[in-house]
Amino acid sequence: MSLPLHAGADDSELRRAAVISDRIRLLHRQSYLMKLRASNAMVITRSRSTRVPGFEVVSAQMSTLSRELAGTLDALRTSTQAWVAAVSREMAARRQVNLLELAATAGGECARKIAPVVATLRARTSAMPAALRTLTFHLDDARRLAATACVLARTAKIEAVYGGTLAQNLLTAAAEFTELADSVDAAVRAITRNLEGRGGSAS
Amino acid sequence: MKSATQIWSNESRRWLVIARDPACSDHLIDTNEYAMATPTEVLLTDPGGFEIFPAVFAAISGELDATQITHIFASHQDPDVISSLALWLQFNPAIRCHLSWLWQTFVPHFGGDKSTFCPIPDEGRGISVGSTTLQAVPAHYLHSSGNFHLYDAEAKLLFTGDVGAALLPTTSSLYVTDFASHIRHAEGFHRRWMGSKAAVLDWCERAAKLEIDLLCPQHGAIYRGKDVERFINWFAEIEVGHLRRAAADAA
Repeated sequence: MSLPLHAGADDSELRRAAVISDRIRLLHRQSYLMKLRASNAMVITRSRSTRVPGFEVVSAQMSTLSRELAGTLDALRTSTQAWVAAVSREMAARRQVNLLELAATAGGECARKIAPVVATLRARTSAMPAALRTLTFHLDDARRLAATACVLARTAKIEAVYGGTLAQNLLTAAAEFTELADSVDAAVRAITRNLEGRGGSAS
Repeated sequence: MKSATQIWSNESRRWLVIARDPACSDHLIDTNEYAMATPTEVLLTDPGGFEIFPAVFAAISGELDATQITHIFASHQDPDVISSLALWLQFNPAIRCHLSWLWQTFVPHFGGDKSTFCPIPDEGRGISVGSTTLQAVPAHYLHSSGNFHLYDAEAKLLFTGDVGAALLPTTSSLYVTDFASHIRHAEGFHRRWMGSKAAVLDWCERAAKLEIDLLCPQHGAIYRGKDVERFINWFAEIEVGHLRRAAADAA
């Protein structure tokens, strides 16, 4: 008597968690690149004699926002790991329940003795909903910051046009930031969609 | 929670160790799991017991794409080595488990079916992961009667299962920093768990011929550089396989 390798919905839940975790890991890397690009943009405006006040303000905001986004993604990464651990624990517990239920199919005294054990295992409060709530909270934060980064990046592009002799350099810096902000924004949205499609609710 | 740390890398591959769980309960021996990641596939060594699966899985998935884990190498059959197998297979039924042929009908009691296991003959063999081939090196009777270590010639890394193991607090360093003080934590373990002096000498001779920069046990700290040679020399000298002697020494 053994359990099939494919044991139902709980396996796909862990696979989805692993995929989301990997995407968040890659996102985490991008946020550091964004911080770097924002710092570069600031350096360009400070290292020349030409004053570009509009771009200076925007690049300072980009830098602050990038730092905040990187911090949020740090927290998101930690909460994702806690969620993945909770999903893993759930899967292990469900396997124990499945094995006990399999034993209970023998019926009679055995089934009667196993039933309360299974009931106790099932009644155990799962850490999964709480872990998912924390993850969703950090993901919402990241989504808000990424959307703001996209707006700032576009503003930077407009301000770069008024950069005189620096215009080309500023446009390049703004374009690099835009590309990163857009990809972070798209990744956060994709992760959110994937998480919402997991079949459960975070709330 | 355990954490994953990179211990070696080149342009296309890396080795991670998943270790040091401060939350690990006293009643469970703390373990080190190692992951060798290529761009397409990942191999895990001694992935650990059923109880620690969540901690190992979470730590790994924080550092690499867990869906790429396609190979498990089990040095031997112990529960702290491979009793989580059923959960790994539940996550990915395509995972293949490489272990001594001796255990291929025993370990399925933890999970898996005929297609899961890739038995390793006594003399060892290569294990292909992505475009890399690792070598299963015989280490029989150290401590299990069907026991293998795993060698990566490019990384000069030897995964040694229980050989080199030390019982250390979960706050200790990942690497051996002071061999003399470290080896005190390894001595009792080796005297009791290693069954045969002949097997020890056989292994030491084999290991001494390999180029090893990192000697990576399943428990305790990683030996590197000169400490690898120091360990092999120390191991060759130690008396093993006598319960009375081990007990007397411990007293």
